[in-house]
Amino acid sequence: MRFALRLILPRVGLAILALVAISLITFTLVELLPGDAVTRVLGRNATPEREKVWRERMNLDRPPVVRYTLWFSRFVRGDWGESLVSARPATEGAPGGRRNRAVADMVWPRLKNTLILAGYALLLYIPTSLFLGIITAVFREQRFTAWLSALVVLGTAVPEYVIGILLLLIFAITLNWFPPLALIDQAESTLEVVQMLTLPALTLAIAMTGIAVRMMQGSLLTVLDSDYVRFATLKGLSRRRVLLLHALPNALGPAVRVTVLSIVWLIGGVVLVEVIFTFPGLGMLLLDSLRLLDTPVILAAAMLLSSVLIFANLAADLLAAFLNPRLRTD
Amino acid sequence: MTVSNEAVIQVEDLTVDYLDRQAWVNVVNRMSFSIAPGETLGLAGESGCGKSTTGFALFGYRRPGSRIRAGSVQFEGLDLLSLDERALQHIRGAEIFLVPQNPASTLTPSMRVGRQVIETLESHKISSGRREAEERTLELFAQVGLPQPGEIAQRYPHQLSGGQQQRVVIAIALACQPKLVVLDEPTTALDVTTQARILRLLDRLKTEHGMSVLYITHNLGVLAQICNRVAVMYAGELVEVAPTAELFNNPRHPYTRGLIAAVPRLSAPNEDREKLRGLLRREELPPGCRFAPRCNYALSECSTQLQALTTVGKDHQAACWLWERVAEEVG
Repeated sequence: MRFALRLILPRVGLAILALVAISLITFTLVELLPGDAVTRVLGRNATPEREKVWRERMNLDRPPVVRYTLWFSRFVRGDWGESLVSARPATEGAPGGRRNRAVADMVWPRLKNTLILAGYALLLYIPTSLFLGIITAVFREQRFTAWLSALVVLGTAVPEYVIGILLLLIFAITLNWFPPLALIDQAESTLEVVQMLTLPALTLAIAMTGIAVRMMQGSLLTVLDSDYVRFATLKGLSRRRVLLLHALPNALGPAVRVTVLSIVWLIGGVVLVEVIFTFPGLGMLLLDSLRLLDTPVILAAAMLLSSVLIFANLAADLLAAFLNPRLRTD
Repeated sequence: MTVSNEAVIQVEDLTVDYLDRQAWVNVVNRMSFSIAPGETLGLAGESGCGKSTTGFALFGYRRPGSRIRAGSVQFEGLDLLSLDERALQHIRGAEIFLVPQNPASTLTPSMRVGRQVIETLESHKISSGRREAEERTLELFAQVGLPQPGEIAQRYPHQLSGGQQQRVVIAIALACQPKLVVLDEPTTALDVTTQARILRLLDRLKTEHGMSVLYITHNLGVLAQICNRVAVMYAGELVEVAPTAELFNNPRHPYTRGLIAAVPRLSAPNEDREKLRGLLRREELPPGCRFAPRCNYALSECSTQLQALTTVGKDHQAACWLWERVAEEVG
């Protein structure tokens, strides 16, 4: 267990540094965009007087440094602030004079949705790509492997939005098998949720499979060509035993690591796919709040997405370490 | 010593190609040799000349991305090159055993070394039952001089030294009691003292169990110590075969002379004439003698004239039509 701590502790320190940097960069970038939440909300109805009143109300009249410091000091204490724009649902009333929605209430349900979608995609593509990776590596001298590899490369080469729109046109619009909109917050049954999630998850899975297959394949090919696999073969072990006990355990470590790292791409892809299928996830929220320049929401969403990536990285390293006796026992 | 019909293994016309960017490149060309019971045959040649490829072919094995274009490997009345994987399983390890070059990469990193011995015993039904296999493993470890066998068996390969790793490999070989052991530069990756110890261990096992050995190396010094006969390879072809003393005293092929001259010596300075020039370039092999571009004796015809092994002395063959001239000149 000591090695796990040795692995985790320095990374946690780095992760905190990275998150601070990300919040700073995000804040600066939003500041650099033309206009602010007030101009976005008022739009054509803007007059200098109205803008002044709104700006005071939103605290936007203070200098950026002060606003960032204020946001940061509250954020680390767990207070993520309120949206500049979104109003609290009427039913909740307005205790303490607060009128706007708490950022945390907006962000967490969306993160949950995004993670459900990403999880569904993972569930689809991890077993598929492990299987395809193993098949293409083991039967590399067979002709069908070349076709399979070509197909996989095609899947990777076509961007998510093309795959998504194609699936949408075929399975939702023409065949009517799945709903075109993935509004899972309005779903009435679990079955309906799964139905709504299938096309977006499939889009992500197709895009991700290519990368993951090649990771698994590359990792296994290296191992299959290794001295120890040849030695195991020439000891007279059966092919199955060589593959299952000598090759796969040593190929899985690097493959799992890279596959978990591919969650980075997955999160990037999720944003696109959420837009295509109007899916109420964190990506959509990020996009909507960017449109309104709703800084507190943007910051919170960015921090959450970054945390997911950092966590995936850490998990990848830990998994790989546990699968490698060299790291486990020293 | 080398009557072919009582040979343990007989290789005929072995020809192997490698796939290099869509084109087949020849690496082993028409190799023929045999090994008698109890004999140690040395296979010498520089890196990349096809020694290991030849060694693997004795197991009916080819590296991925290569093909065995022609030839046969006769072992106990079977042609190993025409057997399927399942039939080969019973011969690999049990009858013919490989001790590879680099012990650090030979054992599977994710498996405790004891298990790697036990699984071999079980696969070849050498021990009946797990308990017996475990006990046998500890005996074997003791036999090859591993201290605290019980503790070593629980370790992963990376927790052993290079010498210990090679002892584990030899322990597996010992368990199988094969008729033929292919030693593919078994000591190159070890330091000199460990090398000497491993060589002594191998020699003891060879005499105790009467195994035949194919010893692959580029180190002529080692071959001189342990081999009955030596075969010299150049660019995938055999260029000279002779009993060890004969080969070192009366080398007939210019390449063999070059190899011997290349061994560093303290006593006599090496003759310039014998020194090897240049490098083996597979892309530029002439249609005739493959060694001609680097040969100090070559005539212009050598590059076009195909060379085959011819008898040049008792049990001594060389593939050079100028062998008499070479012999005379050197005296």
